[in-house]
Amino acid sequence: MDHSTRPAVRGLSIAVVLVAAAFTLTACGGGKNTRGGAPGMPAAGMNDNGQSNGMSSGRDIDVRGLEGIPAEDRHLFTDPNNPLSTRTVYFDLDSSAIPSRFSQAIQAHGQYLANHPNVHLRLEGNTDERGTREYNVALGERRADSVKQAIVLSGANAGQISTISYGEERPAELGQNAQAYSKNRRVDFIYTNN
Amino acid sequence: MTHKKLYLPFVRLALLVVAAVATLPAHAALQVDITQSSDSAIPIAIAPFASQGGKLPVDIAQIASQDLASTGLFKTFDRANMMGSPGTPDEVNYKNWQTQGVDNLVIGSAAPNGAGGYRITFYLLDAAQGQSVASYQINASANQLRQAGHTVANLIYQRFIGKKGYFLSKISYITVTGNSADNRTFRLVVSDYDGSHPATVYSSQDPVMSPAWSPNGKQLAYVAFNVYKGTSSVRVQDLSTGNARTIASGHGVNGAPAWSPDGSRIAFAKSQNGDTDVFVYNMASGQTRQLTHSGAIDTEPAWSPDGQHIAFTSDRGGQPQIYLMNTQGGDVQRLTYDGKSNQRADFSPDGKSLAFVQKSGNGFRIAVMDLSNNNVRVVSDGPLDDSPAFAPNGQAVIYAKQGGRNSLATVSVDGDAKSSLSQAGEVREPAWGPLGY
Repeated sequence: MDHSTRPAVRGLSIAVVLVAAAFTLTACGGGKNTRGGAPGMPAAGMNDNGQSNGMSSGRDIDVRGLEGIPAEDRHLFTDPNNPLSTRTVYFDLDSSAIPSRFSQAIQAHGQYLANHPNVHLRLEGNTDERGTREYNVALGERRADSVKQAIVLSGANAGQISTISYGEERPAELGQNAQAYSKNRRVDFIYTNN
Repeated sequence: MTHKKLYLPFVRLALLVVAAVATLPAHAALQVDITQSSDSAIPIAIAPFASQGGKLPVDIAQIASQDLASTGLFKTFDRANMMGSPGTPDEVNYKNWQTQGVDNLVIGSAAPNGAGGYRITFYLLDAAQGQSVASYQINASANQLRQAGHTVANLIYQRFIGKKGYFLSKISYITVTGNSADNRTFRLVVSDYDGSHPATVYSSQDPVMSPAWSPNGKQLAYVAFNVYKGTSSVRVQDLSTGNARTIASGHGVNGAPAWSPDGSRIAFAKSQNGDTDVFVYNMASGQTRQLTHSGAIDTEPAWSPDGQHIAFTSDRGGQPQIYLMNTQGGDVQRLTYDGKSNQRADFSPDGKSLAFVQKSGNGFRIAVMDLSNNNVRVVSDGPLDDSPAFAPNGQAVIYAKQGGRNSLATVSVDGDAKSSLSQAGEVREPAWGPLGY
């Protein structure tokens, strides 16, 4: 309505871009982790079958989500044959129960944390877009805590693990279909150094 | 012309100064489309206002006409078919309007008021009877002419609908731009009720959620995430200064803010050990108190307008449903039973109705419950509707449509009139501020 009277304020438009750029810098450390060696599909189970698109070749290791892992150990988390390479747990609709196919991976992360008491893991809970946004934030947190309890049972100290939930706000895949939804109902493992 | 002159007392109004918003301009305004008009829409013609002392910088009649049309409750007469723009009833050729089928006619004029502003006089005429029904006078400074147009619409709306108009109110919403899940920008935007004059009050690469207006319209509470740190926070931002204070933050859930009607407290959701509960923050003391202890998800609080109750979403019974408790956390009762689940309540301003999201079949739709008899009426089409919020006069509900085209929509509470508010990119989570006058 009344578009024609909107003032053109070019200087302020530039300010918007600068603010956005500043946030980009602070945001790139964490969050979305498109990692080599992760299961490409929830149904693919805990072991990745050669879908690591060459990321496991030494120098090209994608360290997103592994910043808190000592450099000499990072290959463990990108080797598709190592259960530590599973760094996302996928869930059924409205469920926070961890499917049994992730048991070995959970155990491996618990043991790694037990053996490296200075390493810190952040679990990021997520949901698909169905249902209300704040309820989904709470559901994602329940999922993250469910994974945390399982990892603690596998030997980690609870103080090594923090949780956050983004609900439906950070989908791994955009789209309104069952496949996208199944990839978005997840908990991501982020080894942080902060 | 032979028409009865009715010398009604003028209704005199001084426009309040509308608080400035400390902001950056937002990219684009929402576009309003009326998608369904009420069958009983009231026909009305608003003629261009006459001006003494040069052309007005703002087309007051056009603004008022657009306001009324946007509700779907009025059918406005096309200006192109109007003959003349009389400034006073004496100048009206009623026969001309009668032959056009116009029953309700608004005419007016603006003149310098001697103080740098304008005195706007307008009349509601019964063209069929050839008589003046009501007359009004508004004083506005030179930079308040848009508000004057909205005030004209408010007065006409109140005359016909019997409720205050919401055309001076503001809405807030979240926009999301960027094509990939990795690279998006979230903006918290405040605009006029119809999406015009948008201004960004907060923006981030990380998610921003759940805007909630303070009852006086001067502050917004909302949720901001810090993805680098893995934290969430509930912030309260002053719209005139841009200053923000954080009332809850950390790992886990800090979200779903809802103001008490007197503005002294904010109910919100916070998690401990994975379990989300409803808490209350006292703005004066800075103290936080826990209200629910269920071990299930308790979130999405909404304060009743009388300040005595808080509705909230809980899955303590399995599927999420809406419950009611007192403000101490006691006397919990379940409110919703229809459908598979019901979530995210918002009280109507008179406290007599509740709007929420109802899941049934495979879809999520907006439903309105009459709290006197718990009858539920579904008012939206789905399939992924979310975030209902009552207009400040209780006559419409704004909500978000997800799926394919993410836009906002409004529906009259009877479900008869519908409009959409859309723009390129995603628009979500509308919150409707107070009347503004």
